[in-house]
Amino acid sequence: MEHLLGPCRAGNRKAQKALYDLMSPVLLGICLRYLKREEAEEALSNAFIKILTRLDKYDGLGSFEGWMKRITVRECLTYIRLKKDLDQTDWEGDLPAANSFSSEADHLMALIQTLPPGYRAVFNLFAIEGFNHNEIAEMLAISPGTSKSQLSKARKLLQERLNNE
Amino acid sequence: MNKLDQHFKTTLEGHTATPSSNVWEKVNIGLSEKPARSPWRIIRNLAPYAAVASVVLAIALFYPSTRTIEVSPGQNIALPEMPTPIKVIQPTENVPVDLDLAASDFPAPTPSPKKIRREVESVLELPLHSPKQIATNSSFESVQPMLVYGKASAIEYIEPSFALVENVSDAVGSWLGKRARTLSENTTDVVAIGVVNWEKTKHTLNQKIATLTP
Repeated sequence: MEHLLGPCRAGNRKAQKALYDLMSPVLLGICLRYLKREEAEEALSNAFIKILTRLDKYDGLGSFEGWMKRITVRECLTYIRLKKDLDQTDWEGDLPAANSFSSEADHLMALIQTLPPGYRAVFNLFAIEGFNHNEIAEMLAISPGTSKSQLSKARKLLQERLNNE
Repeated sequence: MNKLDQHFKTTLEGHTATPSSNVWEKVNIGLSEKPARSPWRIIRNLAPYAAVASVVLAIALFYPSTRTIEVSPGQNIALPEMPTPIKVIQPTENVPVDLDLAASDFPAPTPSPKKIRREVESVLELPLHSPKQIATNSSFESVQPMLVYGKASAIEYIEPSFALVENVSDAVGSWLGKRARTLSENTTDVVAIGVVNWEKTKHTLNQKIATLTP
């Protein structure tokens, strides 16, 4: 993947498409943890435009994939903040029966998508991305206390749903 | 991290999904478009011009109404906006400047400003013979904000605002206050400084000079 960096920086569209083909499934997987399918694809396209237009800001110190993932997560959070979805506390849609999913990942992804957007964002950032509450509070413009509270509620809701299946 | 968190993390961390074909089309279009300039960048680029415009505006607002008169030995001072006649009062020595005045020290406020006669001609070119001279206008009857400052020995500088106003507006007062602070910082031998009413100053100065004159 690193070999695509130079041509992508130079604006080579074939190289950019190759990078997209390589990374878009991974990055869409991240977007789907935060957003519904349609929103996730929109966030993915915005994230990829930022990635390809800001390649000169990648300093090469960390992994390139990690850099792209961070941009993608931030794009999803921007999308959530713009929609002012962080204050919603209602479940979003019904969860299909557990045995209707082809894989455990699809099952958990569907489960996570039923969480209210604020809870979902905090749970993803803490449990999967590995951020602490102070970092989450800064990213979502909420207090660390709110982050802790939303994580607790998200865990409780997820546990209840899993137990009821 | 508890067990639930760990379960989600290990299961979802490598989860992938195939995007629709139109996502790349959006990316392709986005890359072809000229990047939009953010409002903040526009503001940041315009900031220097705005600062210069502010300074020019401030000067345009205040410059025409203010002059600095510095009196030095043998120098002629020109007071183009001062109404006539101008009377030169020459204190003998050690005239203190006391701007902290009681209301009873002053004559009753004058009515609305009279029309100033523009008879400037020869009296505006006043030969001054000593650095301890001050220029006053005995017939000037309107209220006029003045900045007066002087050394220990005498009043040496009078900086009048030639805009005739009934009351010193906030803007003029603010500007004069800043000017006074600048002067007091830059001129170590200034002992008295203040924004005063021209009529009151003239009255007080005449009183003080009268007590010192034999």
